[in-house]
Amino acid sequence: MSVAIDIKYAARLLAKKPRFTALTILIVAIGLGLTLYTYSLLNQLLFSDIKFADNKPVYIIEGTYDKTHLERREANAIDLYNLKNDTSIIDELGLYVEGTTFVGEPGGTLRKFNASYVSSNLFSFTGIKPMLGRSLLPSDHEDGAEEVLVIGYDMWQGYFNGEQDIVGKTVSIDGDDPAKIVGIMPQGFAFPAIADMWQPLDEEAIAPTKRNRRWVSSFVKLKDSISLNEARSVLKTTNLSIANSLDDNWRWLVDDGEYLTIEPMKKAHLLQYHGMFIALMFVVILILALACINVGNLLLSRVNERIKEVAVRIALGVPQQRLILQMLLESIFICSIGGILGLLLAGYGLDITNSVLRDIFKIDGYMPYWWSLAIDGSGIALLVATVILMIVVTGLIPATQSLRSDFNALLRDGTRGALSKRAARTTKVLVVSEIILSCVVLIMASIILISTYSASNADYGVETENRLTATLQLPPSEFEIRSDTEFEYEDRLRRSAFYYALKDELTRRDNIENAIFMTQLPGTGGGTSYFEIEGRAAEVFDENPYSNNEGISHGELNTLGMRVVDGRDFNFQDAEDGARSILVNESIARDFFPEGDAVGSRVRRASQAQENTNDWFTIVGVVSDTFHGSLMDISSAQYNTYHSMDNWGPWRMQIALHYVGHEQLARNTLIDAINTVNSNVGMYNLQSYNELIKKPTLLIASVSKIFLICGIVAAFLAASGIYAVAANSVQQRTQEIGVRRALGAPDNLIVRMFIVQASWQLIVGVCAGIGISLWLISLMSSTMVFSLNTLIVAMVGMPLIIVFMVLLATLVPTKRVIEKEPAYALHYN
Amino acid sequence: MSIDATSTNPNAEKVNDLPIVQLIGINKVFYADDLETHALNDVNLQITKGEYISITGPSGCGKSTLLSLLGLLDTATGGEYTLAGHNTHGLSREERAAIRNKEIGFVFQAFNLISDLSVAENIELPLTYRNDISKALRQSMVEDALQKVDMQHRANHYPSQLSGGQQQRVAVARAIAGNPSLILADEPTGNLDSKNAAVVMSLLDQLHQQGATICMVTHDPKSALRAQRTIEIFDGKIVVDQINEVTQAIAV
Ligand SMILES: Nc1ncnc2c1ncn2[C@@H]1O[C@H](COP(=O)(O)OP(=O)(O)OP(=O)(O)O)[C@@H](O)[C@H]1O
Ligand SMILES: [Mg+2]
Repeated sequence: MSVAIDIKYAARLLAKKPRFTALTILIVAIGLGLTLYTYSLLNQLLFSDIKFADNKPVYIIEGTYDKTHLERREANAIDLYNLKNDTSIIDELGLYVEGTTFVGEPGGTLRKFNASYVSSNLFSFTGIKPMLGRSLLPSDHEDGAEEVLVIGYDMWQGYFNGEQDIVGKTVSIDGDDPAKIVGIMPQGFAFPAIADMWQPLDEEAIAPTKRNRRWVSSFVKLKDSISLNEARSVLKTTNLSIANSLDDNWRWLVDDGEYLTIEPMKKAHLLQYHGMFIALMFVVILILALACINVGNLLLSRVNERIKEVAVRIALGVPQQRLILQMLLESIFICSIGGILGLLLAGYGLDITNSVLRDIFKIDGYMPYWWSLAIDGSGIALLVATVILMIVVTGLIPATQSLRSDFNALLRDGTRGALSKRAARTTKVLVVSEIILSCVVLIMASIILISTYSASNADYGVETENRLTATLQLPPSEFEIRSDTEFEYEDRLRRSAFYYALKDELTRRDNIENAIFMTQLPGTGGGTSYFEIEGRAAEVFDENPYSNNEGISHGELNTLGMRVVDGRDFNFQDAEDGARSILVNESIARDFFPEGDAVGSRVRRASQAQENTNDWFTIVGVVSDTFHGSLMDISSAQYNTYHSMDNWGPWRMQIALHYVGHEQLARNTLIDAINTVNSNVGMYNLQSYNELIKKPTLLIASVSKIFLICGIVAAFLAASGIYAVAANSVQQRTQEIGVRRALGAPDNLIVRMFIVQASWQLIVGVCAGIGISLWLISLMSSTMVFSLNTLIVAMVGMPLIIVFMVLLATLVPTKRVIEKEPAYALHYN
Repeated sequence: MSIDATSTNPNAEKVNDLPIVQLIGINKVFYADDLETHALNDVNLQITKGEYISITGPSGCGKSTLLSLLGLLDTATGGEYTLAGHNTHGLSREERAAIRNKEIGFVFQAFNLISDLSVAENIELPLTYRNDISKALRQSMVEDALQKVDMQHRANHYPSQLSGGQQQRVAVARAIAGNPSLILADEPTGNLDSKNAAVVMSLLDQLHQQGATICMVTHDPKSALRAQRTIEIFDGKIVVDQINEVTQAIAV
């Protein structure tokens, strides 16, 4: 068969130039591997819908995403309740809150489990039945109903050793609350989050009668006739009517018409990274385009090398399809092998990412159950489609190009001078596209790389070596919270007393230097509120400065290497009922009290409701700066204020201790000390300080690594591609250089000619590249914050590198031609 | 095309009896793929101003190589080349470029027009490499050259829109536009049919009549005879160097 001859011929051509073949295959493999990897990542983490047997996508309706802290916000229960009953968009709506429950006999060891507090329709919503016993019933929500638990398969097998008669058994939760196990869910059931057990929400959350402080998220299915966009517009009107009905205390709930939002469930879990992932997608598409152009260009330069042979074939009457097929064969070969390698690369990358994802949730176990990545059928389909696309692009660039050449002239003159004007234009378009793509890819990759790198290497202003952290939770049965009663202050003191007793117990041990309690330790948390400085209130409350605010124990700042810079630390005076003292950090003192008059000044929480005139807090001290909150955004981290925990007595606190000796020993000491002081107190998320601050950055860090790889790949593709296209365009004009030199053109004129040409291409390419980058950045900026320095480095630095690369890639081959005698260039073929 | 004999100075050859080219013991060796090619071997040649020389010889004997050396497109591996009284050895690249530009005009077998430039721009190109010519003067020099080859009507066309013969006429115009002292033509009619070849040949005759010094490589014995003097190269050596008696008769 004649096609067989063509195949042999193509294989021989490739085998003859092994380095060229390897390079092109490598470029294809990297392009395809990154594409498949990113597709699998985004599709499984973000784009595909979560569906159950009824095949309806699941959405999350909750409060507007908190852009300042990059956190999800729950909605007020009554608003979801009304939404379900007053509008006609919702088919099914379930409620949930993620929480923590301790299980264990009073006086014995407590085990912490992740609990989902849910509405009973969770099980009908998913269509999944318990494997033993029953699921939750509407009556379980009722006030005074018996406390019940539905547990997961793993908890049954692990904690209860697979006891057969477990259903019906009563266990103690959160100290000494009895709760009956009524059912076991099958293995793998993890909706709406991975949890060990499911508990009923209370009635006030399920069917609230008035606006209360019950905050919940909801998972919903929309009515068949309702699209996501229609649901969004209904929510918009709902938000407006909620805003109009709120009284002053609640006015803050709807901010500028923004409150309830609906997002696909997967997206809702990744909103803070959504922009970053979209950016990743664009960068990868651009890299793929870059790879296509590079390979196309390499094949083009090969065709140019044997353009005369092609001309002869045409003269000999080869049919067009045959000629195109012949050129496509090389592409088919290169792209297919590249595709297989790309598949392996993507699989390898996904494996690594899976282990990173597992690491992120190693401590708290809150990993969304769909965060397990694999290449699925749609990924393979995409790969095959992309391979075909690449074959067409990389094969057709050279094929059409050579078919368009003026073969008659080529044969008649036997010179390259006959290469058509079109050919020259193709080369110019290639150079400019190469510049645009490289520019965008390098800018985007470097911006995100710098941002993510600096986020994952942030300095939190605290000592983290030899520091251990954990979260403590007081059992409500022992530490009652009797708000608005005569016992309120007494309850608070009792809760605080536990923490100090634990601290005393700990510091008695040889291996513990000190211990501090904070509602959220530096590196985590970040609850921003606006504060008003006495006599300097802003017109509108949200134009006041804002700060992160934490509760803190007194006298232990040195545990974390924090210092009092001015004034004093909290002490026993601040424990008094109604004592209103506050600490601020250095940044606040510096920026708002430049005269050094921070200590003694008064501040208060700014809100729309201004009637509470008595809640002024007096600044008693200034402490060294630490950073709380989100890592991609330092706004909430910059300013910190601290309240004394003593007359507040939070029921949940984080502890940090400074130990000497082995970490494991310190862990044991902490557990032992808690059991000594009060064994009913729950302790979880026990980890080193470094682990604590690394966790929120792990995903960013791993995405940052992907961007690093993208950046390296892009730089490699850009450099090699720019060199190849620029060299190609010089090569195409080699003979012209010879003619010009024969006519007496001095060397510098020839060089200038190419530099001028390259400069035009650079101006067009770099401007377009920067423009596209700016547009992409604006897409991401709703969920990411970039520092000006980062933008400048990327927007100026990367284009400069590209200018440098293009000029170098133009100068080197030009010089090489000029260095030789003109006779050489004239006879160049 | 007719030749205006009255404009020719009959004494031109005698007046310009100076050697414009002097080659002494020229060698040229190419090294490629471990293979040494002695393209030229001890070539001695003197060309006086106003001479019309044809170079012939079998394929691969070194004709083009000799022309490249004469045109400073390449350098000899040995020997001495004096051009218009200046030893070319040790000239800088810029100086060589300037000499090519002012003193030498090339006509190639493959025309070698630049496809992005129009006919007029192609002719103007070598003039733009000089600093001492105003734009107006350049324009009139281009006009003159176009007129000499009778291509004024195609000034704004692009090479791809011209026939081979027309392209070569433009190439000749480009070669003579700057009034070079030496015109080098490597098989100028090699790519042309006999009719177009005749046109180009008579163009060269005409230039010679007007006093140009021409060095032309050709395979065609009839064309060779139109020159005053014929040099025959064999295997890198000049084996025949003779005056053609019949020149004038053919030219008229
Ligand atoms: N750049 C080069 N590298 C190596 N060898 C060369 C090079 N240029 C010419 N040669 C060799 O030098 C010899 C003379 O070549 P040249 O081009 O001068 O021949 P020619 O007389 O012009 O032949 P033709 O009539 O076929 O054009 C040939 O053997 C050729 O192979
Ligand atoms: Mg030759």
